[in-house]
Amino acid sequence: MSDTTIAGALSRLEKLEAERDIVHTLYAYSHHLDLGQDEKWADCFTEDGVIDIHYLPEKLPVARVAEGTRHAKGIRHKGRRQLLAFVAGHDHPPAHVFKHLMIEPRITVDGDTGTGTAYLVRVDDVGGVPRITSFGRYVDRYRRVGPGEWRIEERVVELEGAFPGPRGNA
Amino acid sequence: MAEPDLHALLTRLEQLESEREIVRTINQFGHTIDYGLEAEWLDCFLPDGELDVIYGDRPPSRMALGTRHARGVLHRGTEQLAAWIAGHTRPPVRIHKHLYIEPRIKLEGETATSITYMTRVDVIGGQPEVYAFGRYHDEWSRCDDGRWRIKRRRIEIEGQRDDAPPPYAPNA
Repeated sequence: MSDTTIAGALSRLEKLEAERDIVHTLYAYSHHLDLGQDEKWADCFTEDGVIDIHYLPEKLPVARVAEGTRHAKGIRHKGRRQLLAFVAGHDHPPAHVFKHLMIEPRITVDGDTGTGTAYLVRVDDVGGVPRITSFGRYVDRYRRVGPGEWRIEERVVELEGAFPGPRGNA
Repeated sequence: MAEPDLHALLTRLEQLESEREIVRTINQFGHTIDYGLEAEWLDCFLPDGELDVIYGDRPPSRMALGTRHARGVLHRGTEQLAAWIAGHTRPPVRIHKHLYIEPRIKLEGETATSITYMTRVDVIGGQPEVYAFGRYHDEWSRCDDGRWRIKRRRIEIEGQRDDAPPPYAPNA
């Protein structure tokens, strides 16, 4: 039964707002990455934030390390400096035009932290033809850093399908 | 401006929560079908829930324990639903994602209806491809635990690749 006291209603409202604010951050991640806005993209993470990209086995040997650390499944980039080094080497428009689609987020909020999974689909212009170049899943941890402001503390990118060749990355 | 009425505010809050819960179940359906999480997938339905797969002009991909009708196959109740999901593909044999987009939800008290777009993405021939698309037509019920579950889901497959491996295990 829902709590219908004023305090209870406020708590319920805050939970809805927290989920909405996290989704805003997830949208910002995609839009800034696709627009080549590196600093704004890094702002989606906490200062000590992590992006840990798990590549398909055939892609792993040629995965871009930047300043990250290689491990058995992929490359882990931790902290703002490493995040900026990663995104600096990412595809940028107008040389490459693409969209990261974040779909079906499943978010759980617990106070000032949260967890979530979501699907990712990347669509690129490949030789004049729009193609799905990769898809997979984000497995995330979030942290509230201020009123209405949530950031990604850790994002594991599980790439499960990828276009052959140089396309087909995170 | 008049003082807001608490009861009216609570009603609005509850409507937002109900929509959020329905979207949560829609997303749960997608994530669990793609990772073979059968118990959590079954939990999207009422015990007497129905899944009606409409194939249009195509022959049904499989029957499982369902009942054939003019346009597709109807799977009703936990036993038939469990048989359906048990035969669905999953990693590592087949990697796919069911993408649900633009849910249009209408609340009617303790029940609701919704229509959602579906696109299924698979690895076909070593690369990501759109395998199928269509719409889900759903009927919902609010449950005592606060969750909303599917009373009836009608899957309309409107486009599907004929040159790809079948969507289900051969013995399903």
